[in-house]
Amino acid sequence: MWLRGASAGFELTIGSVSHSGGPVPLRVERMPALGRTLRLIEPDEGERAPDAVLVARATAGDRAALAAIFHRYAAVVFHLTARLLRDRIEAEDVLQETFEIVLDRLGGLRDPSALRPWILQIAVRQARHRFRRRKLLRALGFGRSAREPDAALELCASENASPEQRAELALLDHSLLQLADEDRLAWMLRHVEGLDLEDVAHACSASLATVKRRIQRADSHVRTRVALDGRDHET
Amino acid sequence: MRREPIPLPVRDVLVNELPVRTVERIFDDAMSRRAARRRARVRTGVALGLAAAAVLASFVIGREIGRREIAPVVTAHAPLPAVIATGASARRVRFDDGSWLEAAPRSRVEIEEDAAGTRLSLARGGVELEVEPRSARRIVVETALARVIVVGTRFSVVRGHDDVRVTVVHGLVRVQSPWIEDGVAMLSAGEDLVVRRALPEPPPTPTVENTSDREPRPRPERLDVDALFREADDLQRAGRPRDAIAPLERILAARPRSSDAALAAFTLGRLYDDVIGDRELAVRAFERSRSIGLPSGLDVEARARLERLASARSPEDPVAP
Repeated sequence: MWLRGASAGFELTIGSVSHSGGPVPLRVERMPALGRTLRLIEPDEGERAPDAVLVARATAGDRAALAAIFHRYAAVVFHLTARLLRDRIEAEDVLQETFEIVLDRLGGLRDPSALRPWILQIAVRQARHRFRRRKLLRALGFGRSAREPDAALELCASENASPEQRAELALLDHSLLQLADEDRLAWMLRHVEGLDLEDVAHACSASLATVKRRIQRADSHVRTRVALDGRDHET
Repeated sequence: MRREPIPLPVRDVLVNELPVRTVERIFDDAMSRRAARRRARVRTGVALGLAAAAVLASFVIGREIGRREIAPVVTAHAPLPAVIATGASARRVRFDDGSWLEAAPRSRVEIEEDAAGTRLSLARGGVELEVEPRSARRIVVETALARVIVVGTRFSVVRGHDDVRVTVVHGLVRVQSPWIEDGVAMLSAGEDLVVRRALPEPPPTPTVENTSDREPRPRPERLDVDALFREADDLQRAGRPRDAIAPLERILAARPRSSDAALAAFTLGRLYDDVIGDRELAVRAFERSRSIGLPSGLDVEARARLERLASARSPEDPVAP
């Protein structure tokens, strides 16, 4: 529910953040004065507004629109990067960094309707920075700390996953670790996150042919070790 | 164990929700980090701005200092200013014969020109002059305490609260003042003289405030000596060196033990040596100037000339040490 009212000095925006199964908090935002007339805004406007509208409003300085964008993509970015990095704390950092970049560069987005692939591309780029940093630290003799990964695939399984599926997820996680970073990244974006091939190519900043080759190479490795339901005919 | 395939995409069997509280926290953190970064950018901008301002200021100051050397110049065909009053920076004025004067910062110099030459009245501050040796211009610097007469030189005159300092860089100047011994002093390269007013009050001398008089009122005997030196200079420049001997001899006769006499004898020596070509008279004149007492710069020159002249004389007629 979104309710906006303009009073003497400022405008109040009262909005809700919808999230499947989560609570519905209210946000009160101090906004630039737009006038004295009170008006009701269509309920759920913030949730239903297309990306292009939110981008236009956020670019004009609407903090509520910024918040709406963040809430729309926070979970996607967080889980994507957590599963790529196998680390929830690092994923939180990446989410924060990603949205700082988004906030800074939103005005330069040429096609506002392409917000989702753009955000995913930024998030993947940040995750790849982390991969490179880990490699460098390993090369310098500073390996990862003794902390166990808290976002391995089997640990991310939903309540509905059966024990057998959890076992397969553990196998999948193990086999993905044996892949090169770029191959694993492409395969995970395609088969774990379910992105279109074009979105995978965009997120990996690579050509379509390249990501297809990477996915195929990873697929032939994974399918010999893990039972997967279905085959990707596009690749 | 029975294997159960994982559906594709795998995310269908994974947790995909994020607690709203976590989302809120990360959003707030991102916003505050962004604000902090902006503040840091502003601070960096301010620091860079200050640094740029400092660089600009040093550039301007450097240029201002550089201007001391290329300060506005009065060229040969431009009229001389009547008054030079400087502020924070010095100002240089070039005369048409190549001589120049530079008024120090916060100085005031009044310039008067007539047929007799150029008279500079230093009301405050300091002035440095370089006078072309071959120039026919006669330059006199007047202060409340002393009058500095240029013989052909580079020197400075700085007026303090109750004194006047005359410093000679090269060449020779004559300083006249009732506040110095004998009323006159010859200064050569590297020498300086501070003239201070002493009690009891001496008779008044020409001052800057008295600039309405075209000529100051020097004491009669000083005027005679000046006039005689000037006459000798004029006759030399006019190509009549033998006629210049008489006024110099008159100085020697009138003030035989004074510094004026030493300078007159030295000038006579140069006249005999360089122009007339009479070695005997040149030796006699140089020896006399040294016996009276020459400033160190001139004494070195007199001694060198005597040694040169002695080498051309017979061995039984040695030069006095």
